[in-house]
Amino acid sequence: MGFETAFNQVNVTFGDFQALKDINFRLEEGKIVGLLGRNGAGKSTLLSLLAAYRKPSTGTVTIGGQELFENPLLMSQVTLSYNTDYSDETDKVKDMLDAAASYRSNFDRSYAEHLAEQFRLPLDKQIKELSNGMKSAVNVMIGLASRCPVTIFDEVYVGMDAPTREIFYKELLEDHARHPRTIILSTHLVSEMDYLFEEIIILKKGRLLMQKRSDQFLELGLSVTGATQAVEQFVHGMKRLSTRQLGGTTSVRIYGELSEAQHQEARNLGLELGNVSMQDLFIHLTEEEDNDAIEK
Amino acid sequence: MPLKNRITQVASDTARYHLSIAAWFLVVIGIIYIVLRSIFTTSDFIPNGFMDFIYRPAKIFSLIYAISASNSFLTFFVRHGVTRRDYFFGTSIALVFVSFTMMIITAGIASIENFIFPAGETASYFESTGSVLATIGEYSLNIICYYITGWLIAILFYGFNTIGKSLAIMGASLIITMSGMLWGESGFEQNITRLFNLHSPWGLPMAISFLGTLLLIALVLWIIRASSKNITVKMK
Repeated sequence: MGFETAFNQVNVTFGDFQALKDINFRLEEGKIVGLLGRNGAGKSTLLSLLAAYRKPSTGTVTIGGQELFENPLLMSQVTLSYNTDYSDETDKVKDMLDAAASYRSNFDRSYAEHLAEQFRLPLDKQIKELSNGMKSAVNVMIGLASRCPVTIFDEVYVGMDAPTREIFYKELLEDHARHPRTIILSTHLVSEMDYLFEEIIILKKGRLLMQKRSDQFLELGLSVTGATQAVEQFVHGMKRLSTRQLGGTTSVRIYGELSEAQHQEARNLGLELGNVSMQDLFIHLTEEEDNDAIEK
Repeated sequence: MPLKNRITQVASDTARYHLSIAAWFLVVIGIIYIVLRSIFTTSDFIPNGFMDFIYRPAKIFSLIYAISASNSFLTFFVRHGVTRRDYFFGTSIALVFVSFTMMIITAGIASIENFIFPAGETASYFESTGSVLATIGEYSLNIICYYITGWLIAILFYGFNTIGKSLAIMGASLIITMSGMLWGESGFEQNITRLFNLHSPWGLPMAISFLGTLLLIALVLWIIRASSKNITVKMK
């Protein structure tokens, strides 16, 4: 059974408010995908559709060509981890592992215990007594150990300190290498997590702004560094993301790809061309008020 | 576990949890009953023994349990990849099982009580086996009515707007009143007798009460299923 995921003309409305508008995309199975968007862009709504937490107002969400909503075979193959409110949860961590193990056919108990060790999670402690970071680690542990063909993490790192987040990223990459599956990561920590993504999807105001491979996305921008006068001459007329100046040296980040002639001109001017970070591009793309064109 | 057993798994897990809470309820009510019986020796206070004593608290327990637990279970199951359909059927099986189990255990305790304090002191329903079974059936069905009333309130409050919540309150009142009327417990019976100037007192044949209650349960379950089959599970 294939697990290619597809959104087909999906709309979600809450009364008069349209949370998602005409969403169309396909995800090949087995990739790690970054879902980016500013607050209120519709990321969690989109992920709740993908986990069958809600039904689209119109359109369909399919996995392997079959509609997902209320499909018992498919729903059991999707897991969504998010920042859960455990304030009333009296179960211990190991009870939650037992529950996940009994409902997830691919659940790897020994891997879960390995993760618990990595995250220093006390299995015999009630989950409501754990710190926020540890609660997030429980979500990560269950999400990864469930080994679902479609695994989703929605800002699951909330409360985790930097070393714990590093463990999460490392485990995610290693487990994905051992058990390839579609992993979708929704995040605001773009600069910290960008190396994880093979592909990115950007939402803006409920619309799909862009879906690209990460390497192609990074080619959308570059930095130009050199003598201030030469840099200003070179970038004249180009879309400028930011400018930094130190003494007589200026570094300008621009949006857009350069032609071969422009590359040659940069060399002639003695300018150095470099990459722009995913975060800078993301900020630019989601800040521009008039940059609503859908690009694929 | 094969997916075809998912309903069984939901029913089993739900019933196990529900029974563990119900066990505490039985113990607490049992202790209260023993204390009260030791204080009030007259049968005026507790005319029909333990089974009758626990009946009303058991209905309230079921109502409150259903209101407080239904949505947590919905979230839990959908989060673990269970469909709303399987959740609905699994929960329905569990609630029937738990309601009858509670009343069978209660009847067992009451029969021990009846052995120690023979009939007259305790319950009239121990006159015959048929009478005991009918009482277990009646009490269990009424407990189911209260459970599904709580379930309906929980679902409509969880997934719907103000109108849905208002309907939940009205619907719950209607269900409780109707189930009470079917067994002559609601207090409306006398009003109806007076309103229509009926000369004979209110009293439905037991078969009609059973059939009416079963139809009421089926109707409410249908409404719960219709209200929950596309319900959005909140991410919280």
